Formats: sequence, C-alpha cells, structure tokens
Amino acid sequence: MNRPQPLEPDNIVDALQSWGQQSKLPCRSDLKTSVRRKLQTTTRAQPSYPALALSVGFVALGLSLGVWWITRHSGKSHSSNQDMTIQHSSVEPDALEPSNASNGTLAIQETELPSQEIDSESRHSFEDLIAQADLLSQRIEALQLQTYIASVELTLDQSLAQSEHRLAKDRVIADWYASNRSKHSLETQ
Amino acid sequence: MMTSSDDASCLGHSNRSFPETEIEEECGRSPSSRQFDGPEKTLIGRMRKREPEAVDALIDQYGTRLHQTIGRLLAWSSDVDDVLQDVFLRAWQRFDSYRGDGSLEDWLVSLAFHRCRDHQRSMRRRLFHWLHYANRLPSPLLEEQLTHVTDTHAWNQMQQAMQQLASGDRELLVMIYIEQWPHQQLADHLKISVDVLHGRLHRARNRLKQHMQSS
Repeated sequence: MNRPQPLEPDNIVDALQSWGQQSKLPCRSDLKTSVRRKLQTTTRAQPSYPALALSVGFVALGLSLGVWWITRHSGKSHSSNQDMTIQHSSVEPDALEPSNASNGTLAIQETELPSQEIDSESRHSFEDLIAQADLLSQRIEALQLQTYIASVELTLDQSLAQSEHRLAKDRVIADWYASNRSKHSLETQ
Repeated sequence: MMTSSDDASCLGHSNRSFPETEIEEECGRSPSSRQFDGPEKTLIGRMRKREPEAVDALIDQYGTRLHQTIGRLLAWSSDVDDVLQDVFLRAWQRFDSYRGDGSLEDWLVSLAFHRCRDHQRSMRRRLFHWLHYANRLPSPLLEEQLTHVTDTHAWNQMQQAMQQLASGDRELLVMIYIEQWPHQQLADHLKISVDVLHGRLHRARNRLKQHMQSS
C-alpha cells in the first residue's frame, strides 16, 4: 500500500487548493422556496417598524388623554370638596357665646368665607393653581388658628364655670356650717 | 491593501504560482474588482426597492458561489444548507447596511464568512456539543456528488484533515488560499494585525500538515 509522501508547505497549500477547487457542489434545489417561506414567516412574525411606532404612538396618546381627563376631573371634585369643607368648618370668633360656653357646648355658626371665589377661567393655568393653593393653605391655617383660640376660650370658660360652681358650693357648705355651729352653741349654752 | 502577489511573497511562496485564473473563472471576476456590471446594478436596485423577487435573482446569481464558500469554511458539514439559507435571509433583512463601496459579491461573501463564524461559535457554546459531531461528517448526498473529483483519496484525506482542524485555522486557510482574500482584508475582518494573521496562518498550515500526516 502506498503511503502518501510527507507534505511540504508548498505541497500542503497545493493539496488544500486542489481540495477547494474540487469542492464544487450545487446548492439544493429548494433553496429559493425555503428562503421565501422563511422570509414570509419572519415578515409576518415581526411587524414593520413604522406600524409598530404608530401603534405605540396611539397607545401613548390614549394613555395621556386618559390621565389628563382623570387628573382634570379629580382636580375639580377635589377643589369643590375643599370649598365645602372650609365652609362647614369655618368658625368666626363671634360665634363663641359665653352662655353656651358655660354649658360646655360650642355653637358653631355656618358662615361663609369672604367672597374670594376661585376664578374658573384661570383654573387651568399653573400659576393660578399655585396661587389658589397658597390661598387655600392660608385659609386653612387661619381656620386652624381660630379653632385653637376657640378651644382655648372654651376650656377657660369651662374652668371658670367649674370654679364658680365649686365656689358657690363651698359657700353653701360654709353657710350651712356657720348656721349649724351657731345653733349648736346656743343649744350648749 | 496587499495584492495576491504580496500575499504569496509574504508567505514565502513567491516562486510558486497560485491558481488565480481558475479562481477567477470560478468566481466570474477578480476578487479585487469594484466595478458594478449591469445585472449587479439592477439587482442592487431591486434589493433596495425591497422587491421579493430580487431574492430569487440573488440566489440564482450567487447561490452556488456562496454554497462553495460556506461548504469550504464548514468543511462540508450538513449545516451548510442551513447557513446558506440564513445568509440570504440576512442579506435581505440587512441590505440597508450594504453601502455600495464594494461589490455585492464581496459583501455577500463577508456576510457568509461572519455567519459561518457565528455558527461555529454557537456550536461550541452548546452543552451537548458531542451530539453535533455527526454533523461534521459529509452527508451521503455529498459523497454521491464527488464523481468529478479526480483523486478521491487525496480529496478525502484533505477533507478529513479539514474536519479535524479547528474552525479558526480552517477559516484562515480557506479565506487566504482558496478564496484568495487579501491578508489586510481578512485581518480587518478578524480585527487583528497582519503580523498576527501571518503567525496564525503559519500555525494553521503546520496543524493541517500534522493532520494530513497522521491520517
């Protein structure tokens, strides 16, 4: 059996090139069909970028509109609730009457705040919203202060009433004791 | 850029003649030519217009050429047809990246070269790599079609040695000695210097020689 001769560098390159030259094979006949089928599959599976961008844009627009509507709607109801709360909880200093305070009850009159209505036309502007928020916070602080003063006054009135009541009671006891003591001394004599 | 004579001289083969004429006949043109002919220009235009029928024309014109290149790079494993199909798919999907500064054929061969590298890398990454050893064997269809090979023993010997060779060595030998790529071009594709390429080429030749002698 003839063993192949040891290959020199030139020979190995020649053998390699001979191998490459003789490796001529036609590609398979159904290559076009398979490529076309795969192209259709990939095209169907992956939507085109403009269509995808358009879909994403529509979804984003819908979401933005929804968020804007919800924010606007909730903002309106929130501001009206705030107005109602302020009107119901507003306390005027004149509403505190000493007669009622002595009974331990505080009469709160439903009074309205000075007419500083929020302008509906400028409600949507950011500056107006900030100004209205500042105004509302100032009102809330004023009302909190008024409520605190009213509660302090109420406490003082209650304490005064209790003291007067105790004093009157002590006076009755003292009178009774004094009368009894005079009666007892007379009996003893 | 280095020419084919430069390639030969830097490898120490200045006195031997490379069968460039045969390769040019096979490819239909010189690898360094950059002139667009009529059909190629028309085909580029159709591809840019995204005509689906242009893929058929692309396969008609370059199918056999790319099949041979991929077959040599993969040592005629049974994955050649799959990789070839994938190359045409990528050519269609990424045709926007073809700038037109080179020939369409060179761009497709580059695409095939990189697709083969990716394929071999993915094969190496697979956990059950041993399952795919069968893919390295020539398919029965290939053996039936080897009737035109003059020296079947020599061909099989080289085929076996190329299969045993590491994919990195094989791609160097195929692209330099068979596809006749300029050294600088291959070095650019591999992102290495020409000196490093020469060193690798020398070692690849020696390993191929060892495989040939051992077989």
